[in-house]
Amino acid sequence: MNLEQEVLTALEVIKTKVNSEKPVNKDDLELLLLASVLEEVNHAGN
Amino acid sequence: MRATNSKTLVLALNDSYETIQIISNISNSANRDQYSILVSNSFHTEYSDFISHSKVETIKLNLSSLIKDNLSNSKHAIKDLLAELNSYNFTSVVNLTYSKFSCYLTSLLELLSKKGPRYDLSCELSIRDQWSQYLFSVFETHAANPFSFSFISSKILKLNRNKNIISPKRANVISIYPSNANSLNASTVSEYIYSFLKQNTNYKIHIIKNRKNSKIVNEILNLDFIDYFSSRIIVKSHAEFNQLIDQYRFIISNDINIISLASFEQTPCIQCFNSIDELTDTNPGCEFSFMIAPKSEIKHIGQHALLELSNALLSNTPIQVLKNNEGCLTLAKYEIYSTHFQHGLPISINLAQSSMNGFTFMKALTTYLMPLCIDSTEFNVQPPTNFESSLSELQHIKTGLELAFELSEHAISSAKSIIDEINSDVPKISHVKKHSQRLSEIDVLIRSLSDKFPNLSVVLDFHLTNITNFDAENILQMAQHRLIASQHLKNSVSAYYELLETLLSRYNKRKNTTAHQDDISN
Repeated sequence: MNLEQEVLTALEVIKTKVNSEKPVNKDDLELLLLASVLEEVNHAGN
Repeated sequence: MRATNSKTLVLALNDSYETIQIISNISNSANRDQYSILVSNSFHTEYSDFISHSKVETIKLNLSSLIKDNLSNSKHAIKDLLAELNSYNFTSVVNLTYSKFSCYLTSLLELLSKKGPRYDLSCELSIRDQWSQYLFSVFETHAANPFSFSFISSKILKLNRNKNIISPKRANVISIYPSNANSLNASTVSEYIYSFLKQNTNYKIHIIKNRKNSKIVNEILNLDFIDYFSSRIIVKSHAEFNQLIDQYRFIISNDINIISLASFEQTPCIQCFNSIDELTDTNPGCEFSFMIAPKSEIKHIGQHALLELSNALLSNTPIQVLKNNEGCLTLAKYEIYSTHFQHGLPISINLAQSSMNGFTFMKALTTYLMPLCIDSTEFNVQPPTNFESSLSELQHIKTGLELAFELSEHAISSAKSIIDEINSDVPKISHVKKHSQRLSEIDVLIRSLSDKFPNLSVVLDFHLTNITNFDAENILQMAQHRLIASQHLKNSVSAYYELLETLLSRYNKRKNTTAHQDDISN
């Protein structure tokens, strides 16, 4: 599995949490930060 | 370098004019040592000369370096970044970037004071301070916003402009730095160069060429006009421009990054753009500079208009000279703004008030009223006078203000009902639900009012951003916040209405007096 797929899989867990109105924690926010880095780097690459 | 006790980290991660203006404003402020700016690696590389000249402390961020071969290593890289930023012992962070990355980063930094957008633990965007809320709310409604990014970000950062900025001695050289945007075209620029050099025999012109604008510069240089004065026209590189920027008498450009760099050096500019909305949004704030955009019927800035503004800049009283030419046909085709500093902040002044429409009228009112409503700063703004052609538009705006006033009163009443119900001995949940539902309906109506009355979108969208951003742990606190916010909306809308009424009645009085005098003389 490459990094992007790993991040997407981990994000699914956070999405479920948010949809069921449970608060996210610091680890979740760090993962979301990483996802935003991937998004920006991919955007700049394109 | 480690931060001292009260140092603020500023997130300025856009590779554009915003970051140039943030660095420039902090550099020119009396409290520059209290800030450290996080900039992207690419911005730091491209603007290294400017950054070192600004003497502002910066921290470089290389986003690509956070991406490792697998999730575990990338997470470690993120943790290392956070640990590094937390180790600086900043006391506060201000996010001026509005990207997902900067919002998550703001959330994760272990600092007590945070300004600007960030995500909360429900992953909702949260903005607590009012000027950041204002900046967020005008992203989509810039046509009605009179304040530049430079102004708003200085307000958020609470910068005190250093009044002792000394402007260096200028040479008899002007610089033209065109970009490929269509507000300047090659034939107009070459005609301007010919006329300017003919009129000003002791001046030279530098044309700046880089890899991005080589097409338009080559077109300019290939036109016949240029040959007459070839010895006084010199092509310079971007690097050479950076060295000379503080020596030019003035600069003409349609590239906001270049204008922002020039503004830092206090070099006067003629800033050319396609639309006036772009100009007021991006105005970096430099006294004795002009911002010009064509009105809708023409696409380019003509050479005569450029010459008029150049002559005004070469004389030492540019604004007065231009005002004398207000009726001049050449300039009537354009919107022209200049900058005036008050309370150390740049205010865009509309110099061609003869053609005021609903937007320009409301912008003038907002310039005065919005800072008064947000933080009680009073700017001395010339009230709009020449709005004869937009009287029906102003009547329409009055209707919008009346509707907004009514909605704010309904919201106040619903919020009060919720508070009373919760504070009663036996609160009825059904009543609380009914009034909460009513508040949601009012929000929808305010949103549609903003769409229907774009002239009022600044005040209405700011209110909508404000009511969704607050610290409330229960419905009572939510209702209390709504009560205060709706009261603010009511006060703001009343202030707009009263000012509009006063200006309209003054106009009618003036008109009646003129008609009366005409009757007597007949």
